[in-house]
Amino acid sequence: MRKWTPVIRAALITFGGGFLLSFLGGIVVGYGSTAGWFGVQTAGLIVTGVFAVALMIGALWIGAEWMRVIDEAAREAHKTAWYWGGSGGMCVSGVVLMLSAAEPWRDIIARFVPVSGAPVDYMAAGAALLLAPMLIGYTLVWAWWWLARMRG
Amino acid sequence: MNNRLKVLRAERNWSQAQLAEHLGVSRQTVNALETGRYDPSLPLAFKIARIFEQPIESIFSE
Repeated sequence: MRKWTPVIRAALITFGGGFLLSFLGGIVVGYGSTAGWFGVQTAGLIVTGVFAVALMIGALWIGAEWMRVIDEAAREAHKTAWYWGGSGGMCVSGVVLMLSAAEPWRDIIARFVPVSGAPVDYMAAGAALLLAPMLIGYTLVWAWWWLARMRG
Repeated sequence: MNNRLKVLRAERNWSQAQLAEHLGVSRQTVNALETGRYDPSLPLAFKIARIFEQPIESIFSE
């Protein structure tokens, strides 16, 4: 259990720090904008921007600690999942990308874009379409790697 | 690659979990090694050889 300490510490600092950052940021934005130090929008941009970047740096840190703790077979499973699962997922995203430029498909794909259909919704949907197949592919290949090696 | 890990472990009456602890890997990794579905890295192969006090080539074969 002790070997997991660096991972737990990184996770606690990342999520605890993220929570604290958003909490204190909210107070500063609320107080500062009421006092007229800065506009709510500017302060909100800074706080959410810093929060998002800090959280992702923390996620990388947790991942690095995790990779250091696990053994070589577990690392190999992740490397295989990263390459084959990630690449397979990217191919799925590639199909959607090509179809979204083809006339009959564009309208069908556009139906899956949520809410107002504003440019930012399309951007978010595009990012999700890129990430989701890669994550699904990663998970499937990772599970396959271990299942294939668990059979006696 | 074939190996004699299971036999060597049985000779010492070790469970997979005990061997895993000696090697500093998970039990799942020991299972994957024993079934020949995962080939160890050179450092791990040397560690296995050291623990069983045998040369690598007497434990692993093509």
